[in-house]
Amino acid sequence: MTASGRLRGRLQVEIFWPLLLAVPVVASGTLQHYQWAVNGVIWGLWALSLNIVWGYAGQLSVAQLALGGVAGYTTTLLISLHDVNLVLAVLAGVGTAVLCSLLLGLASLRLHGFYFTILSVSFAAVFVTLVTNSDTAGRTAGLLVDRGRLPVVDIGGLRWDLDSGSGGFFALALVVFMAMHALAVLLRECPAGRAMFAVRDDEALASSLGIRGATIKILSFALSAVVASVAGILQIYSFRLIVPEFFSFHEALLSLLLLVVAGLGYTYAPAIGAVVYVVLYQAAPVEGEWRVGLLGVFVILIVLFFPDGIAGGIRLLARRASSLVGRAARWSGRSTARSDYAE
Amino acid sequence: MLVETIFAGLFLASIYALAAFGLAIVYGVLHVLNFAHGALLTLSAYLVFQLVTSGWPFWGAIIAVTVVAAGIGVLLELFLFRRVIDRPLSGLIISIGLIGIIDSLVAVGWGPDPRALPRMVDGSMTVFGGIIAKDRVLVVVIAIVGLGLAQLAITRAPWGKLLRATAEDREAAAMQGIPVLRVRTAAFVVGAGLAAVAGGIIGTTLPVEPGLGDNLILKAFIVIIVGGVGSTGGTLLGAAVVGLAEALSISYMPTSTAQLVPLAVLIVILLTRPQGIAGTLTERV
Repeated sequence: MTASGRLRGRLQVEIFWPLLLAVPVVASGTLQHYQWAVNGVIWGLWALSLNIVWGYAGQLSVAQLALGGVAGYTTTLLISLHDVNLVLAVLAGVGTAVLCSLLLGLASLRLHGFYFTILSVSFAAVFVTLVTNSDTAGRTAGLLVDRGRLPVVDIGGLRWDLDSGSGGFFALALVVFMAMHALAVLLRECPAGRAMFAVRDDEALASSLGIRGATIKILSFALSAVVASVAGILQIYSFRLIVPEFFSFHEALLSLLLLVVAGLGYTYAPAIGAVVYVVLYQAAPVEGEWRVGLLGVFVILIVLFFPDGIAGGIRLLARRASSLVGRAARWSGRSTARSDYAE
Repeated sequence: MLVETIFAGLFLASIYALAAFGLAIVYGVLHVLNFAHGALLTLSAYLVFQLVTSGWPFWGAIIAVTVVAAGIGVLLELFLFRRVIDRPLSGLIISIGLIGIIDSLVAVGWGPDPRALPRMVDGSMTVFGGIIAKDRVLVVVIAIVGLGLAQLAITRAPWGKLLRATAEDREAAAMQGIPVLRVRTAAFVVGAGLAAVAGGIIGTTLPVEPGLGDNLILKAFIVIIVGGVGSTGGTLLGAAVVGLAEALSISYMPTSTAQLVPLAVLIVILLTRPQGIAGTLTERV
């Protein structure tokens, strides 16, 4: 196999493996499991958005959920106030969020590290304060989202009801996730993505190689805003409701934890984060109040023992295993050599 | 009206300063954004509430809870934060994990309903024609005297100098023979203790509820940046600026706009003078 063929094969595995995670959900097929999986996918998308801007480009932004909220409110209001077509409204929502993310991106050019993070916190706080105090946006009670507008798609005789709780909506969420995940994997391989990693690791060095740090950072914000918008819109359609609470500081911290536990910067991380969310937040047989504490304990253990998260841990274990296998192979090879000699 | 507004500003400033001071010390020395500071403050307020309702005198309860919080601080530093000493990001994540654990404890122990600590003193007094509540005056006095003494200790006392030297440059401090690991632990203990004191005192004037610390921690970060990171004096100044700005805007603007004022102050400071009002630029921002 040629080197590029091997690369293509590896990328295909990397892009398509999350589909395996959907198998048990479809096999079970209960409404509850579909709902869990949809929530998992949404949190996977939040983590994915953060992974692009933080894991790839090194900008810790706590405002990703707020960007998703901008998209969600724009879409909802365009539909409810002006009766705009769903697709157009979604596009307008994504566009508005991308515009807001450019503001954040510009701020990130002036501020670094801790300072930028706090600025992003205040950006999110401004957004939440604005919608909480706006009558148009329904204040804390929020707005209802009419999921009946999701169409029924006909693919070669196969009826796909996007609104259906028994698989249809999950399939939509999964398709969206796979598209965004593929985008993230391919981004890592293309020059722009490599430039993001370079800027993250050493901006001065990157600029000496002709990489424009400013452009690259702003690009990472815009792309992450697209992913965040999609996550926000999926979330409000999943809950048939949009409230400021979805995009609060607490929720933003949760997305941050999920990503770090799963493995910051790894393309595997968002899907792993989705699994962590479903296992700890939905499936774990503990009382509601204990869930966040359970996640806290889990996070601390992971950070102490696997600084690179689950993805990093798996890689480490795989490497150890392969070196063990290699050593075992060498050892058995040596023993056969010896037996040859004896003969 | 103006007197009451300015006093309200002083009161807010005192609360923010109480919440932010310990956080500023921990960030200065450990370079950990300790988001768990707010959770610790909330937990302490509940613990003080628990002791007071079971018959303890208020100040006795504050002292007991402060000792407990300082103990928790030692354990956290020794077993968690020290292990990630060269990874500030891991420190941040650990502190967020701690928020989850403490939130769970508070939710299981006391539920979602707000509780109230008894006021330190009842009644009100008239100053320059403005009527102000005595217990709030006491909070302001405690904040000014207490934090003033703490600030004096940090700038004048020998251990304060150790603290500042370690904050400025850990390696250089170690080369001068300063036991930097012990200073780190001390800073964390002081931070946790201050969170406990702040929680108990704030709890006498604001409702003790699960979101208490969350709301304050955001304001505390705003205050620290507005004042200038790395300077506890700046933190006090930042608290005064943010508290007064907030009180004035609440009096003269619709509530929804007023809520945005502290954030606006922060954003303006970040974009024009990121080292803060009193800060000197010691690190790249």
